[in-house]
Amino acid sequence: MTRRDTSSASLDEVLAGYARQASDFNPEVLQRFIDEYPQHADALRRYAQVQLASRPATPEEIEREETPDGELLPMQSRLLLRMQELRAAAPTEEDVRGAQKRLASIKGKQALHDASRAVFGGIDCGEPSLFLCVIEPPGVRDAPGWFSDSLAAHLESRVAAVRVAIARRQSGEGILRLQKFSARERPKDAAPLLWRQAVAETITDALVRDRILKRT
Amino acid sequence: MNKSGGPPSGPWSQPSPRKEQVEEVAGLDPVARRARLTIGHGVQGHIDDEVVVTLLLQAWKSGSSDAEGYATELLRRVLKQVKAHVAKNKGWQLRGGGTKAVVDDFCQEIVESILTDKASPCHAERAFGNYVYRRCLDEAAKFYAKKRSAGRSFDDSGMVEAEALHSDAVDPPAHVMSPEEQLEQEFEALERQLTEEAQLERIREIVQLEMPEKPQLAFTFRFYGELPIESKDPEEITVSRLMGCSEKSVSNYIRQAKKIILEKMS
Repeated sequence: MTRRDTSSASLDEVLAGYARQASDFNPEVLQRFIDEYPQHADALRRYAQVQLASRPATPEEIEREETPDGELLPMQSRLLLRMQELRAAAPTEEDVRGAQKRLASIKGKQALHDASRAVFGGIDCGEPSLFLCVIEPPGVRDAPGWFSDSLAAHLESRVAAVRVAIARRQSGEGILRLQKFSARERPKDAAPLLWRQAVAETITDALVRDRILKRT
Repeated sequence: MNKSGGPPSGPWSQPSPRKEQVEEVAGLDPVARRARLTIGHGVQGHIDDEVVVTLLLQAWKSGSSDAEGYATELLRRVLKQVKAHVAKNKGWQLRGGGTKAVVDDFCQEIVESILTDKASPCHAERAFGNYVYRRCLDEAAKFYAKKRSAGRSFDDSGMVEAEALHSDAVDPPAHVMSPEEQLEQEFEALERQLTEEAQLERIREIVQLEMPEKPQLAFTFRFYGELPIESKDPEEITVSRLMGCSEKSVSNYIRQAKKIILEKMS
């Protein structure tokens, strides 16, 4: 496994990574993140400080909060509009099932190589491992849009349906498990990786790694 | 919590009585359903948040128009929770994270994240209220961490921070014993009196709002995080390790924090 490049990780990525691994204050995780990302140490400490010093409202305090119509109605209208937009863009259950089936059909070395080639344009520098990393649990949290676009084209499915199919597979809802002949070992209950981390851990060639990270 | 990779994700908490609630509410007509869903917490007949989330997801995925009713009810509940958490944590508000526009957008985003399956709860968050609180906390903490990183200070009392920073660069000079001992004694006396929730809340408020960063961090890690200042065990996480400064400096920061608390409480 290649060493993770932590020097270029953005503050957003680092804070999101810490929050995922320490939803409650966890000094060991905090220390590990401070050691790994010294450039963001101050921000990590401040994040942990707010974690420790904040407190949730009690059910009684929540119950006492008023939500007058004047405040709620404009918010509700906005939400309903957004729901209409989402509904129009959402794939049907049939679309999703079809995409799940096609995703599950990527079995064996040849099929995996075909899919990796379709998505990344190559297979010689760890691309199949990166492919598996994205679609297998626990997955990659922020895989770029072009990944599902290219995969959807390869599978001849709707992009939105492929995204849902990948999300379901990542949450363990997949129809069939992929054959992990070349995937590195990862604990089943690990948190999803960040895209940048997944690329750093799987792609062995610096030029290919850079090209993938810069692709839009 | 698994240390290697964070908590596992799973479905929203669904003990069996909730299944009955789901069936009961789904069987009501829209007017009766709305009345039933708005029964307040602690009142007989109250419907749990997780039930509303489940009903919303069921209706949304099956394309039923009932989804709108559940979504607006969930939005109302989220708004109540967010407002209450913001009111409880005054630091979030004063740092600009609790304005009406921010809260409105944030509430909408939470409901939308559920509709778009982005709100997969982790083990510790299977209670919906817990999930909302953690989202609020994450937002507030990120906001604070990033604004500070951008060079903005939230401290009015920059003097104390400057003093603390200075003393961090060169280990602080030995303190004259008597004022220090006096401070410790006064703080211990205050701790003995801390029996009321209101006093503890006031201290929390002072730490959050009225303290420069270094004393704030040292005090928080030491007392809320319950970490030792220093340890002979090199593996043990200590305040001085987390803050990257000497034991003496941490002790000095904590002394400053105690002094500020005593002054503000008197």
